[in-house]
Formats: sequence, structure tokens, C-alpha cells
Amino acid sequence: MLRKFEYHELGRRSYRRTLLFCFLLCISVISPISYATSIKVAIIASKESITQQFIVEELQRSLNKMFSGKEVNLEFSLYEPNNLPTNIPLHSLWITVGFSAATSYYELEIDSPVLHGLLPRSILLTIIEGNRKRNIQVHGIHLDQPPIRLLNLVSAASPKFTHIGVLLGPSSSSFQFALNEYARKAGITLHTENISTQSDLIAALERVLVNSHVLLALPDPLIYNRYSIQKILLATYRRKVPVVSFSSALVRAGASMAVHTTQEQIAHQLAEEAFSIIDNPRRPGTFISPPKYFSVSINQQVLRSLELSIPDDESLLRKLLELEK
Amino acid sequence: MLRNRNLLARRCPHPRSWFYSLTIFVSLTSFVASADTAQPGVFGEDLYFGELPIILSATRLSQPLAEAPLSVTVIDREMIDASGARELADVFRLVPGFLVGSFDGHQRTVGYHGLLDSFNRRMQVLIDGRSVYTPTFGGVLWSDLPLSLEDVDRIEVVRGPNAASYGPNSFMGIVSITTRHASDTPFTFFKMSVGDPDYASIFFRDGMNYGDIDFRISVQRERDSGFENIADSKVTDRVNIRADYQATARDNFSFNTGINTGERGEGEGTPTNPDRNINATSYFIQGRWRKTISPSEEFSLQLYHNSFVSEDRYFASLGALSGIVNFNREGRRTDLEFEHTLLPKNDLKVAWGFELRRDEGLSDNIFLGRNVSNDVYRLFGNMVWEFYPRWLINLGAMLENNDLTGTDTSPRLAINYRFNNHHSYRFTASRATRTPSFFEARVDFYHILDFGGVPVLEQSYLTQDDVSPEKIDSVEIGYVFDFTELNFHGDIKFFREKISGLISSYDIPLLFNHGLPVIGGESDSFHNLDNAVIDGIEFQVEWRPSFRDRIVFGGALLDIDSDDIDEPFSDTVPDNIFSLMWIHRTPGALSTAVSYLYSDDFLYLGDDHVEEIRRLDFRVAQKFGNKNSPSEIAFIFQNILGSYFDMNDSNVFDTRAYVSLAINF
Repeated sequence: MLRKFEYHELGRRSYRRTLLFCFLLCISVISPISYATSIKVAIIASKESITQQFIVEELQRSLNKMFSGKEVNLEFSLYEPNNLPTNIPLHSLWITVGFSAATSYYELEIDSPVLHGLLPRSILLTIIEGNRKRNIQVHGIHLDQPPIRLLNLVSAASPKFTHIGVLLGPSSSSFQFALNEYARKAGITLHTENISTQSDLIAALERVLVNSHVLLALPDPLIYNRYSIQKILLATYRRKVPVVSFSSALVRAGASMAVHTTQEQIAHQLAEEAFSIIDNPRRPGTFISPPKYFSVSINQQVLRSLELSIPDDESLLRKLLELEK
Repeated sequence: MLRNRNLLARRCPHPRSWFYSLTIFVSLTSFVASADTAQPGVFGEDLYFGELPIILSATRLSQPLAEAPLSVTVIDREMIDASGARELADVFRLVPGFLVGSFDGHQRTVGYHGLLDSFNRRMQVLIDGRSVYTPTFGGVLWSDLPLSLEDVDRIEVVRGPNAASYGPNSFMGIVSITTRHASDTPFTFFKMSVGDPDYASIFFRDGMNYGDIDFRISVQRERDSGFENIADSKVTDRVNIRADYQATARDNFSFNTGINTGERGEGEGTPTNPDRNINATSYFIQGRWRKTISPSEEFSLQLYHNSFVSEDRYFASLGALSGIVNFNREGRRTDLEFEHTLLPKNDLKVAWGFELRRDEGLSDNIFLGRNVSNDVYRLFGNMVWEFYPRWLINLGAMLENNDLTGTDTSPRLAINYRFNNHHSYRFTASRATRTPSFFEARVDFYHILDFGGVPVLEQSYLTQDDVSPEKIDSVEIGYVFDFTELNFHGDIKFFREKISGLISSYDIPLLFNHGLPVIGGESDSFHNLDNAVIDGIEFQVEWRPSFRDRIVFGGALLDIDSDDIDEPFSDTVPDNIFSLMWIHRTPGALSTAVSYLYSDDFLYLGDDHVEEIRRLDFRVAQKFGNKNSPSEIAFIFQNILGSYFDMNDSNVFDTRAYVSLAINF
């Protein structure tokens, strides 16, 4: 039988253990992150791509900033696509930047959540569709602006653009309904041509341009690619039809204006999504998002040559932000 | 004044069988080569962030009409088709102030504001930047150009002198013809036409793409019998090849070559000018490198060579006189041009460059020596600067030095004021010079004839004095309007053109030359003597009342004052010239076009007084077949209102009709 002193000692030790257990239980319920003192994030990107490297750097900087003050130690592992090591430690999240990185992730046979970035919508969907069997959390932020955002740019640029020409291909034909709805509500006339092979492009473009004030360029690899943009920009310029496009590179090539997402904005949104995934794990599933942040670019030289007077890029951006609220 | 002269030269080096072999090769190629081998399916971030080629670069962007230093008329592909024109020269009837004449069925003259003879030479004419007026006689051999009308994409006509931008010979106006980019014509295209007068044409074109290289080859044969009762028929074969290569995002190369060859009817059915066939061949080769340094800076380097060869040699007799008449000749041009364009600021554009050219004329008996040449050096600069909001200055100059006439400067100043988006005003002062052709400045045109066993000389022309360049000083006030909401835009200008030192021919006494007595003891020679002042009002408007209709209306009201010492220059300018075109498209792929042309009476120097011309043309066309590669049948009726004399009493242009069938594969 324990003496009274020993009882008290036993009681005090039990009490301290209980107290410690309760404290740890509370901490684990209130702040799960406090347990993850070190979070490993793997990023796959090509070192040869300046764009991808810039996004990777910005992404790391943004994530570090988001996690600062949370007593979390972020560890980034950077990998090259098609050159991934065989023994890879466990990571809380994989982030892929670009096409090669995305496809190389699925060769790893791992179950960690993945976030794909810097991909056109059609390519992202194709990659995810091709790997649907994997029971993992798949997140993706693609590059393509919602069509409504480009249509808002058309209306913000000029109320005279009441006839909008659109070419749709296999990757963009699903937008037809949304475009028709917008046109009906806005009281504008859409001139749409659908093509299924590139050989139909020139004839379809000529038909659309005859009746249009502006050509709305929606991303579709069959229609807008490195080989076809020359024909499209020359044909639209000859017809004095401005092109409203989806990338700053197209504006530089000769499109009149674009709503697009910059590399910084892509990196920031990827960081936000990564933070959300780490902070709030979800069940396996697919979560696709369009770009959240965007900018406006205009080609002053082309607009001047076309004798078109539209607001400057900052004014256009303000209008678009108001319309999106 | 220059009458057309067909001269004898070396035999055409390209036999007709070559043409047929090439046609077969092209047909096979279209089935063997895939039309498009581009891989459009997969692309990365290049289209979003990469370095794409700058397609609409500083040089490709045309100046808005409201900011241009001079009035510009643009004839696009739709207008070319709607006009029903079968030859390039006929398209210019649609340009305000232009006159188009036919010396015969295959010799056309095109000019601006009169002063025309059978070989107008007071205009710069460029095809893809290549100058095509001939160094021998100064004019353009419109029917002999190695260019099919089907390959023309657009024509820009600058109505006024602008040597600072367009180089030598940009005297009264500039015609700049742009052919279709090779990537614009990826299909296989076939067109056949038949009609009056004994007219037939077959045209075939194929386009191919291999990654960053686009090719186009086109082949045409056409023939017609010309005016009735005149030996002026023609059979023409043309081949053109164009390649465009986007080597890198910043480097673009284009290569062009073409040939036009065929027989032409000549003669008046007299012993001195018997009916006969002559051979004419022209060809060119051209390469261009365009380097885009940034969206606001690029340079281009161009090298080309043109050649024209005409062969005409026959036996003539008149009483006791007889002999071989020799009109052989060849003209060549080799040219290197560099141009640098940059936009240091948003409101400032600067272009400068230089050109080195060698023109040559070769003949046995036309020029001073068998081979005459002229080396031309040109330095030019242009600046467009919005020096104050809505105020623009276009300042440019060309410095030219050549062996024939030394150094001349051609400045041009324009001040544009954009009142608002609808109204712009312009004041322009411009000077240009026209260097005399070899025929005007280096001519020794003679024939050795037999007079009852005694050799004698017929001397037609001989250079005696130094011939100076003609000079034009032009002043104009222009107004450009644009009512976009109404789809109505146009321009009007009030102008005065003072032309001095007009080159004309006069008689000189000449008893002996080349050791032989000269028949008649005289010859013609050239000098600068007359002056002329042309005043006028000129306008053009375009109205699209609906998406289906397009109306283009233009005209010029002209007045000329000249001393007419050597030539009756005052009679060469009609008081009024008008043109109207209305294009209408129906929903069922049927389109119609009506063109009406009017000019008051005027005189062609060396030919006849042409009475008032009223001409109505009509075209109706129906598309059919696959909407992505449609075919089209068209019926064209020219000059429905009745006959008129075209340039002289022998050339009766009556009502003509023809049908064409175009098929895309």
C-alpha cells in the first residue's frame, strides 16, 4: 500500500500528464498546422523556360509570405520534368508548371495532391482526362480567360462593336451557349463559324470578317497557333477588323487588345491555391479554376493604323473589374 | 511624245514546251504535297508569353488616311473582282483622276491628270516594292508584267508626288501593288475565262506550307485578238513563284520570281509596217529580308533584278527605199535597297534608307552605243511626328544622284490636323523630278536602208542636247472625313501642280550620221521646253449602307494651262473624270457589281482626240459548292452603253462579254 506521500506524488504526476494531454489535444484541434512544422512542397518546372522559372520564383516568394507568422517551415524541392529521381520523399503538395511538368507528374505513381499551372484549358483538361484513374486531389489553374471577360473587354472598348465575329473549334465549341446567352442579353449580334480542320480556317475567317466589327479570339489550338496567327492577323488587318485576344504575346504580334494574366498574377494565384490545399485538405477530386487576376494590353500602333479610338489599358481594366463585381 | 516602238532583240530563251512541262509538274505537286503540314494541335506557353513573330510591324502598318501626307486610293481584292477587269491596267479606271488607254490590244497606257501618250512614264509603279517602269522608255509595259491579276491582293495609289517615300520617278503619282502573301493562298485554285474578243484564259495556282515556309506557284495562259481589223492579238504565258519564310520570330524572308512571255501582233498591214508577230519576254527575281528588332523598330534589305526583252525585226519597203527594220531591245534593272524604320516615341516615326541601282538599255540601233547604263544612288528619310496633340507633321526628302542628270533633291512636307475623329485637314507641298529615260537622253535610233543600191540612213531620234529632269511642284489642301457610325468616309483635295521642263521632241537638222546621208536631212530630238500648270479638285467617297452594299464614288475636275510650244499639252487633260462602283451581295452567295466611268474628251499625244467616254460594266457572280472552298461562276458585260474610240479611231471598244469559272480544291 502506498504511503500518503506516495499517493500525493502519484496524484501530482497523473494530474500533470492529464494536463499535458489536454493541452496537446486542444492544440491539435485548434491549430492542426502547428503540428506541420515542416511542409514539403515539390515543384516541377523546366529550367530552360524563362517564363516557368520566373513563375517558380514568384510562387515560392508568395507562398513564403502567406505562411510567414504561422510557424511553418516551407521546404521546396525543385525538379526538372523528364528527369525526376526514382526515390522521392513524401511531399504535402506537388505543383507542376507547364506541359512537360504536368505529364511527368503522372509518371511518378504517387498520391499526393497536385496543382497544375501554366496550361491552356484544353490541354489541362486533356491531361486530367487521360489520368482520371488516379485517386488523388487534382487542382488546376489554366491560362484561358472566361469568354465573358473577353466580351466585357469588347463592350468596354467601344459601344460601336455590335457585331462580333467568333471562330470556334473543337476546344472552344463548348462556349457557344455562353456566347449566345451573352449576345441575347447584351443585344449584340454574333457571327460564328465552327471549324473542325485547319484547312477550313481561311474560308471561315473571311466569312466571319465580312459582317463583323471585331474578331473575338477564344483560345483554341486548331485556330490560334503559331502557324495560323500570321494569316489571321493579316486578314483581319486588311479588313480593318480589330482582334480582341487572350494573350499579351498576340497583342505584340498585332492583335489590337487583350485581356490576359501576367506571370506574376499566375504565380500569385498558384500560391493562393497551394496555400488553400495545404491549409484545408480535401477529398480526392478535380478542381479546375480559370485565372482570377488579369490585366489589359492594347497595341497603340495597330489601333492608330485602324483609326480606332478606345480608352487606354488602365481605363479598360477598371471597367472590367467593375463588370466582374 | 513617244510613239510605241517594237524593236528587235534576241530570241525568247524560254521555249513554249517549258510552260506545258511546268503545268504538269504543278498539277502533280498539288496531289503529292500536303496542303498544310503545320502541327496545330499542341502548343505550350509561347502563344501566351513567348516571342511570336511581329506580324503587324511598323512597316506593315499603313498610315491612317487622316494622317497620310497625300491622298491615297486603295483598291482591294473585292474591288478588283467586282470591276470585271481582265488586265491590271483596267483596274485604274476606279482611281480618281486616272486615265487608261489602249494603243492597241496589248499596249496600255495609264496616267494621272493627263499629259498621256501611248507610253506614259510620269508615275512610279511598284510591285511588292520592286520598281517596274522600264529604263529604256520610262513607261510601264502593263501587258508584259510578270504578274497575274489573280495574284494581286491590293493596290495603293498615292495621288501626288512623293519621291521621299517611293523613290525615283514618283512624279505625278505612285502605284504600289501588293501580291498575295504565300500563306493567303493555301488552296489549289483554277480559273477559266472565255469571251470577247476571242478571249480565253486559264489560270492555275497552288499553295503549299512546310512549317514556317509558305509557297505559292501560279501559272496562266491567256489570249485575245485585240481590236477588230488590227494586228494586235496576244498570247501570254505567265508563271509566278513566291515563298515566304518566317525563319525566326524576328526574321522574315520572302522570295519572288516570275516570267511573262508571249507573241504579240503588230503592224498596220502596209509595206512599211507589215502585219507580223513579235516576241516579248520579261522576268524578274527578288529577295527580301525583314528583320523586326522590336515592335517599334525594324529594317529591311531587298535585292531584285528585272529584265525585259522584245524582238521585232522585219523587212520594209517604200518605193525605192527598202531595208531591215530592227526594233530589238532589252532593258534591265538591278537594285539594292535598305530601309530602317523606328518609333523612338509613341508620337514619332522615323524611316531612312538608301538605294543603289543600275539601269541598262541594250540594243543594236536605238541608243548611243549598244549598251547604255545609268547608276542611281538614292538616300531618303521620312519623319512623322505628332508635335502637338492632333497636329502631325510628315517631313521627308530624297537625294538622288544618277549618271544621266546628276543630283536632285525631292522634299515633301505635309501638316495634318485632326479636328476630331470625324474630320481631318491637310496641307501638303511636294517636289519631285522625273529623270529622262534612255530613249529621251541617250537615243540614236536609226535604220540603214537601201535607196536604189545606195545605203542611206533613216534617223528617227538622236540625242543632241543634255536633257534635264522634268520637275513638278505640287501644293494641295485636303480634307478627310470619316463617319464610322454611317459607314461613310472619304476625302477631297484642292491642288495645283506646276510642271516645268516637260520633255518633248522637236526637229533638228541632220545631214549625216554613222557615215551615211540622212533621209530628209533631219531627225527628232528631245529637249525640255514646255511647262504646264494643272489645277483641280479631286475626291473619293465610300459608303456602306449595309453589310451587303458597298458604293465607291470618285472623280476629278481638272484644268490645265500650258504654252503648248512643242506639243498640245493643254488638250491632254479632260475637264471631268468620274467613276462609280456599286457592289451588292445577296444572302444566297450571289453578288453583283455595277461600274460606271465617265471622262470628257481629251487628246492622247501622238494619237487622236478621244471623244467623251461613258462606259457601264456589269458583273454577276454566284458562289456554289463547299462553303469552305467555294467555287464561283461569273458573267461580265463590259461597256454596255455602246462603242467608244479608245485612244485612236482604229481602236473601237464595243460591248464585250465573257464568263469565268473559278474552282477551289
